[in-house]
Amino acid sequence: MLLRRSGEKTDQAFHLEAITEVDDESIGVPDEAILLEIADAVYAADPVQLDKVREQGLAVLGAVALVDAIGVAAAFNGITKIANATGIPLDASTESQTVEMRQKTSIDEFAETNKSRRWD
Amino acid sequence: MLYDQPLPIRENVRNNHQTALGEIGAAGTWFTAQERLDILKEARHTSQCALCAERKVAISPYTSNGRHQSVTQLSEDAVEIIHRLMTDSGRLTEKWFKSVTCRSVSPEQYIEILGVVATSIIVDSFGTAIGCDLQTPEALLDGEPSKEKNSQVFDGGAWVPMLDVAQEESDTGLPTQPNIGRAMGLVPSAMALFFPVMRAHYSLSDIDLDISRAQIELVAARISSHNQCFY
Repeated sequence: MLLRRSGEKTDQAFHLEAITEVDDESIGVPDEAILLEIADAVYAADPVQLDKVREQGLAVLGAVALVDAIGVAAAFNGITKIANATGIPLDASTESQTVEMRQKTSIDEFAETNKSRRWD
Repeated sequence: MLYDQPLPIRENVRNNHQTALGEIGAAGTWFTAQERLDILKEARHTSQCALCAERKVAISPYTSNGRHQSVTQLSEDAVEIIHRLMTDSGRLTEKWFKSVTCRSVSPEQYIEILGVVATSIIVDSFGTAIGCDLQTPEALLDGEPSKEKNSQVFDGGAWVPMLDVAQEESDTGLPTQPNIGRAMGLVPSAMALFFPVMRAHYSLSDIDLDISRAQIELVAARISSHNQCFY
């Protein structure tokens, strides 16, 4: 949700729906295609996919940025488990400022009440 | 040396990962060193579990019964927790949490398992993505779990009590200690294991990376979406 805030700080509007694959328009972030591929490959942890994305990432981003992007992806692959496994509520400021964005991107589908309704 | 390969690994990343692996191999607050290594071993095996694979594609994970293919002597509840964290964390519910913490695993032990698993996911995801083999720490068998409860917690609306700390608003608009930073407050050693590794890769402010803030948040948002993370 901080991508929205990052855009506000730099006066940019990002098309956030594409992140959750609600649609496939451009998000508006430089080098977004390779960055999304890196995130997808880190999540999938498939060695063949990772080999390919490392090669592409080196060519597009360079070695340091590639490793940094992999690091961010790895870090969020870990921290999301903590959020998912503890049922923490949104911080009050985030909750009040992201109502529309959460609806547009379908992130509300991931809320505890919805998960419980769908799967318990 | 950890991550011995040609890509440029930042020194603080290498050091924090090495330290975390060492800490996983030492006694924690509720588990012995060997039990913590078993948690790591079990986590790394979950991709081979037939029950997890079946549940992953089921409309609801709560309709598939059976036994996990375990490689350790950990309790069934501990194994269930580790496997679900690893393979299907996006569909965990409070009802499930209560079901796995009412018998052999206490909420404190649940948090310690979570800390080890979440930390190992960062280390293993990173290592695998840069093309390295997984590293297994040696067990430091001296030392016993302290089993010390943290009383500085409160009911903040999560499934577990959260760390109780004074809050102010930071310049990101978030509180100085967001809920994610307080979620494992029941076991401070779990927080101490996880967050140095996390912060080596990401911070809300003051982090020097070769990608922009928008690019950082894009990657973070995509991974969060894959993990069906509401927070």
